[in-house]
Parts: sequence; C-alpha cells; structure tokens
Amino acid sequence: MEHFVDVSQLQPPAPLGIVLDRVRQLPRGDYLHIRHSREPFPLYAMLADMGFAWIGAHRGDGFEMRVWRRDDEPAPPFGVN
Amino acid sequence: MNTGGLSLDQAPPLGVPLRFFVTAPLFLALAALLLLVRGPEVFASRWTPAALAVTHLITIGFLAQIMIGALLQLLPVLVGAKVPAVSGFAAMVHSALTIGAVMLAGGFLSGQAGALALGAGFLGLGFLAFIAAAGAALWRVPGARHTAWAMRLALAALLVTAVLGGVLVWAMTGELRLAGFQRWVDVHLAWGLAGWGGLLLIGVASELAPMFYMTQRYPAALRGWLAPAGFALLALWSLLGVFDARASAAVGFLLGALFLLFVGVLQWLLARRKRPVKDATLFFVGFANLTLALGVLAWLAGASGIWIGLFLLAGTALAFPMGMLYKIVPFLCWFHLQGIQLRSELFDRPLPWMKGFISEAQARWQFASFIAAWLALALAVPWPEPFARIGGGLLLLSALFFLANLLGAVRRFRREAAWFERQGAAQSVDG
Repeated sequence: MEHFVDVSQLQPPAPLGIVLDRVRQLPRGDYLHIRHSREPFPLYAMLADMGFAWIGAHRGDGFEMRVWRRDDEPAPPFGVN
Repeated sequence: MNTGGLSLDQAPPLGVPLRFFVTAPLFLALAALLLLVRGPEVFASRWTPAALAVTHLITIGFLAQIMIGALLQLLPVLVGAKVPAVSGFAAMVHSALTIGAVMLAGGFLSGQAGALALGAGFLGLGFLAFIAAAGAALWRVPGARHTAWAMRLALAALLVTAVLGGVLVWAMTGELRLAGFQRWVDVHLAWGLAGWGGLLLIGVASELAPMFYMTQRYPAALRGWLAPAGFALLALWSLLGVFDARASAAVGFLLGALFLLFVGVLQWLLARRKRPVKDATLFFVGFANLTLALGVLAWLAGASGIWIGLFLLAGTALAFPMGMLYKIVPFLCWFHLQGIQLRSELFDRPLPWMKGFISEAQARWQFASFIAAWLALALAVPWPEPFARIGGGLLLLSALFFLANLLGAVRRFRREAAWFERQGAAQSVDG
C-alpha cells in the first residue's frame, strides 16, 4: 500500500525530519511516496543506515521518491502504480 | 532514476566544515583589530601595507575559509559529489590557509619578503590541494547541472586568482620584474572577487534561495548561462585589457551588468517568496545584495578602490557568509544529531530545531552590531580619523559576537550528543 507525503513546500530541516519520522512509522509491506523540492542527497545515507531501499526520479520542478524496507517487496517503479 | 547506491558516509563529519567556519571570525577579528590600530592608514590608499593586510585577512582568512568549508559540505548536498578523503584534505587545506593568511598579512605589514613568500607558498599549497580535491569530486558529477558548472568555473577562477597572487608576491619580493604591476593587481582582484566569489555566489545562491527561503526557482533561462557568461566576460576583460583599453571597458560594463541582473533577480525572488517568515538571515542576505549592487555600480562609475572595498569587502563579503552560516551551522548540528539519534534508536527525545542552536535574537543583535560597524567604516571614507578606528572597534565586537553565536551552536550540539552517548552507555551496561 502506498503512503504519501509532500515536503516540497517546507524549509530545511523539516523535509528531512518529517521523512525520517514517516519512514520509521511505515507499516511492513508498504512503501512511502515522497514529493520533494529537490533531490535529497543527505537522506540517502540515513535511509541506507536504517535498512531502507528507494527509487527516485526528477519529475517536473521537483523530485519524487518511493521508499520501502529493504527486506520487503520493492515499490513499483515510477510510471507503474 | 536513482536506485541509491550511495555510501553511508556521504556527508562529511561535522568537524570538516566547522573548523573553517570557526576560524573565519578569528580572522575577521584580526582584520578589525588592524583597523582599530591602523585604520586611517587602511583608508588612505588600497596600496598601504595595512590596507593590503586587511584585504587579505578578510578575503582569505574570512571569506575563503567559509567558502571552502561550505563547499566541502555543500558538494555532497547540492550536487551529490563526494570529496575523496575529505577529513584529511580538510585538515591540510585548513592548516595551510590559516598559516598562509597569517604569514601573508604579516609580510604585508612588516615588508619582509621572506614572510610574503612563505605565506604565498602555504596559500598556494592550500588552494591547490582544495582545487584538486573539489575538482575531482565535481568531475564525477554526471550531466551538465548548472550548479556544478558554476562551481567548476568558480574553482577555475580561484586557480587563476591564486596563480596571479603568487606572481604578484614573486614581483613584490623583487625576484621578478613585472611590467604594469597595477594592471596585474586589478586582474588578480577581479578573478578573486567576480570570478571565485561571484561565480560561486551565482551557483550557490540560486540553489539556496529556493531551499532556505522557499522562493520560486531561479529562472532556468538565467541559471544556465549566468556563470559561463560571467567567466567568459572576465577572461575577455582580462585579455583585452592588455591591448585595447576601450574594448576591455565595454566588456567590463557587460560583466557589471550581468552581476546586477543576477542580484536583481535574486532580490526580486526573495521579495516574492511564498512564505514571508521573518528571519534574521534575510537581513544579512538583503544587505549583501544591496552592497553587491552598489559595489558593481561604484566599479562601473570608476569610483576609488576604497569605496569598492567598503561595499564588496566590508559589505557583501562579510554579510553573505554570515547570513549563510546562520542557516548552515544549525542545519548541520541538527543533521548530525539526527544521525546520532538514528544510531541510538532513542526517538523519544525531541531534537532542538534550527533556532534552538542559534536564536533569532542572537542573530539579529549580531546583525545590528555588524551594521553599526559598517556605517562607521562608511563614514571613515570621508573622515578616516576617528571613524576608521571606531569602525574597527565595532567590527571587532561584531566578529567576536559572531564567533560566540557559532560556538553556542556547537556547544548545544555537544550537549545533545553527550546525552545520547550517556544513554547508549547506560543501555549497554543494562544489557
């Protein structure tokens, strides 16, 4: 199941903090879809550290990601819902 | 599409940028002390030993230290470029620049050729090591990202500035005969301020404004060509100056117009930002934009170097880095605490937010002290005595205030980090 969070209108460090909170609460088997204003490079190391995997793509003016637990089923790639 | 194969140590350790950030206010304090003691001499001419020393204490000791510290941090954040062996490089670059800037300023003041040459040697080592490390990281960034290109061109401009600086010191020590010494100095200064400083400002400010102030994106049509055009105009201006003064002046006019366009659009975006939250850092950025525009206009109008120094060195070169550090340092403290919290898995403890590290009031009072210092320095242009010394004294207070604010953030970080460490130790004893 998809969960969605839009942090594209928030000032740092809110986007990073909110995304970290949301992925920690992510139910098993689900994935989090994130809309961000930019590619969040600092987030990657933290997600990897926490045992998450992700895909991401530049879309329109911003950046979108799908994040899931590494030992869960991967989220569908963009373009597939 | 990105599948996230990045290494865990993507962000450099906190000590990497902080060592540069905390050293910078000390150099500003040294420059201010020199103004306090020998202020009227600084304002007499840009060629006096005290003026040369103050200029380099600010440009290398303060500005370049912050720019390099910020770049080592921002390269991974903004463009995903990781500097190889960053901790070792940072320690080496920081030591070389610190020793070099002190020796160069000492060399200018004492007139000792040995100190000048040694200072230039250390600075050359520091700058070249930094250019190599940052250049290697930027080289690997895929695609033609505007910011990465602005950073690459700024690095190339730093290389030109450093080489020209080395040539000038060589000439000053009497080892090299250099025709048209003043023209060489002007070219060195233009590559340092408009090239290294200006192009990096174009690259970084157009990224940071949407990120920190929620402005609209800097117009893509401008972002793509501002930095390459600025670099090309600077190169053309430098070369034409050798044999065609009128053509060089025309190109110089275009270069000035380019920076006015950049800063005009930036200020326009800031004025129309989506969420007009009151923030002390906006005072710094607004003042930096104003003094940048005034400095460019003064340069185009052929004003004396003292006015240009007042606007660009005492104005933009101090205000912009101060404002940015009030955003960057709290963010880094918070970011590294997040990392510590993630590892400890103690999520019940709320982390301090940005203003929990440096309060709005602290930043505003420091801005007020900085403006008071700048106004006194502005009055020192017509009346060097007593205003140059008063400006120096006020700038000294402002620099120490700035340092205290940065150290306050570091202390808060350490206190929080120590709490997690204690809890972790207690847990491992319990376990």
